[in-house]
Amino acid sequence: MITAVKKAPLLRLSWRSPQASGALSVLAGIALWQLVYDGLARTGYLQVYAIDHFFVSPWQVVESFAELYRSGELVRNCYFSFLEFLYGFLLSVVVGVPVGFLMATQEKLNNFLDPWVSCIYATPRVALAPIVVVWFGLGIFPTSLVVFLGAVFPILLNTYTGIKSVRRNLIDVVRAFGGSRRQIFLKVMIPDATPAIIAGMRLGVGRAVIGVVVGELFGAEAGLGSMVYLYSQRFQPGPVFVGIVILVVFGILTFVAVEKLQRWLSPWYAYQLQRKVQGMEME
Amino acid sequence: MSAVVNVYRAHEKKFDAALSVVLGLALWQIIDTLLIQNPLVAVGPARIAEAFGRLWAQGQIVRHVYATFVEFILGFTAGVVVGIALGILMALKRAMKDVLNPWVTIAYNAPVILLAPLFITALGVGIASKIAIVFISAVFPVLFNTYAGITTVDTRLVEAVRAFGGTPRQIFFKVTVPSSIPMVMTGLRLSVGRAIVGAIVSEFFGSRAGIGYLISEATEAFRTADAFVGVVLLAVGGYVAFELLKYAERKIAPWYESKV
Amino acid sequence: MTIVSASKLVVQNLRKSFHSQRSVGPIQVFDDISFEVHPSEFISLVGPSGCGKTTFLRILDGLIPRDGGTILLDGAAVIKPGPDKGFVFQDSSLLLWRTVIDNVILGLELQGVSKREARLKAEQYIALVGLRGFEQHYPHELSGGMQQRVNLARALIVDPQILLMDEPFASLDAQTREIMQAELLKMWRQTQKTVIFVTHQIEEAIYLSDRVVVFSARPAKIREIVNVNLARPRALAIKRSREFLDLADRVWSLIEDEVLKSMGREKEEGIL
Repeated sequence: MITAVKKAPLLRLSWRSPQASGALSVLAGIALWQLVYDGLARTGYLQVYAIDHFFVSPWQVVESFAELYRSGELVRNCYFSFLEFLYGFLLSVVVGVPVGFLMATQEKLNNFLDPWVSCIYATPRVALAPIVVVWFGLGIFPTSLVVFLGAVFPILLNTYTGIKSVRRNLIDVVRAFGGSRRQIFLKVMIPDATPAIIAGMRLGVGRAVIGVVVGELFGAEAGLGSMVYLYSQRFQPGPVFVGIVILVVFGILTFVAVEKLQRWLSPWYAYQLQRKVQGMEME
Repeated sequence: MSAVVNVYRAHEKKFDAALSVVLGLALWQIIDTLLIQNPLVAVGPARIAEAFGRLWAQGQIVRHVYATFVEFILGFTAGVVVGIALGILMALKRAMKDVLNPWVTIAYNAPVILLAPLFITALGVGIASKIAIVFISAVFPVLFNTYAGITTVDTRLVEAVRAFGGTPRQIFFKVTVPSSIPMVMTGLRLSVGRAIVGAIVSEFFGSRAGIGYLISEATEAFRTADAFVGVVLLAVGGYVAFELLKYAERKIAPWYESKV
Repeated sequence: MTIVSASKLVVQNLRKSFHSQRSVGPIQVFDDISFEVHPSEFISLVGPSGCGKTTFLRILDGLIPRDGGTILLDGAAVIKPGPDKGFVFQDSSLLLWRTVIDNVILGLELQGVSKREARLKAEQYIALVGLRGFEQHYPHELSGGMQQRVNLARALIVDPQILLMDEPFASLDAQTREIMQAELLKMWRQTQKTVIFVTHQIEEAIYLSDRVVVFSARPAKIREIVNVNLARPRALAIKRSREFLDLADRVWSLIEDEVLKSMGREKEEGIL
């Protein structure tokens, strides 16, 4: 036992841990990025080939961030985008979960809705963004609607799958005790379908972020997407990168938050094979 | 009469679906012609059909579909090839995994489509920027799922082949490759969806042809019906792509029951 | 009339058939099954696989409807499932999102008993099945044998008139299974419940039961009811006694030709 410990020194062990090597890789990547940029700047190619129209150094991104923050532009844009995300995402939960549930339990309704849901699901919904803006004009509402169109389908379909795959034998248990339909719904169907529904929400987050960006491209007074678009047209990549980084970080943080919600709502679920949920993460 | 009822019962789902589509289209048309009567807003099936006919006659349909198709097929193919290759490397080489894993995880979960405006600035409004965007949209799901598929191979199967004296090479081709195919297929499906979105959104950001261009240009000119023609084309394209993939899956991995 | 009221459970002329897409007509699962169970009796049902033992048990509980015949529990007709019957399901049918104690109280909760009151009562049953100290564990943290103990406590807490057990030990390993059999007999002595126990293990049926009901292949009929006159309480060692082995031989010979029959039928239907 003692020799085994000696053979695997602590330092080496922590060095090899996924977190450590991950952080190291990210830091090295950023450093490399900075070096490449400085090297290009020294040769002068940056200006000759207009590389500085789309390429920045990490340090310039930090500078742009500070500048946008000072002018108040950043906060305002974040605020608008966040509202669009929030409204659209909440709406897609409020619509997607009940409709998915009804489709899973009411066969007739499912027969009628299925062709339309499948058809719209097969269409990339971002394609509808310009049309939505023509219909509803500028502002927060149309972009929220684009967010909704993106996020609602994964939530709806995962709710449907979750309810459809509720374990029959657990329903039988409640029936055997003389439980009512209401009790079957509350005590078995809802808890058993929760992990699938949350997996749908996790997928919806990603779609919602894309919805924010594409929606703002067509009709926004403010927002991170419109900021990205504006500065890329002005050939100022600094603010563009700031917008991208914030959206990516926001997307990942929300993703993690939904995962935490998952663990909190269904702590018993963690042990189950992630594969089952992963299998649903499609399209 | 009862014979009719029986036929209906036997194919209830199909009849309901057909009825639903007919009723939906009829309702849509009624709203268009009777209630709103504004071609900017209400675009009934009739207007879309008419717009399709006109665009077809002008050769616009073929031109835009061709442009998007080329962007899609080149970017997607490159994404699949690179994704599978890197996925295998990451799964087999520890060092590759250590270096690439954090980046791949971020890129897989992040909306990479956000990079579209930068690519367009860098590569211009032509086809090159679109192929690049389709590529980065498609590459990560394939890469991630290939990696996951190879690293989650059932060790009992590996042991079974080793017990028969199988070489590492034999293990790779007889166990690892076939048993990771379902995961790779899942990755492909994700990639198809993201690649189509990548093509359309990058065309929105700046282009001269393509279905995304058709949609954004038509809406800017308030020709909503033309934009809907683009949407319908995408729906059909998406459907065809997923059906082809399903067919390929059945051919390549008939033992695996697809969940879609 | 006195004879009827002396029986805990009376089954008369029970019939059931299923519609299957594979066959043209309905498939007769069983036709005309009648028997009686005395109070506090332990009865096992055995028969060739696929003969409909589980279906039969589910019909007794009212989980699935019957085509005809009567089921009387304490003289009252069984129409639907309810807390007067305790059903112990085959594999882990515990609610994954509930702790042991919250799984045990399910039946009381469904009847509208407050959770606090139900939990107090549950302690006693958790102790009965030997799970004290595991109240706050989740099902996935328990072994198969422990999960079945929870299942048992869950069925017992509603104080049912009869316990219907559907191959509860089928997925346990041989050693755990033996321990659970002995434990079940101990609990049965303590609670004095009437038990109907479905199993495909002849040895298990004989060890546990007062009488073993042998079903024939589908359409199932009662082939024979074998009395088990072994003294109680029974030690596990009894399984190696002459009498026990003779009984097992007898039950097995009853089932053997039924098994062959049903295998022949499965071949015809293309199942095998």
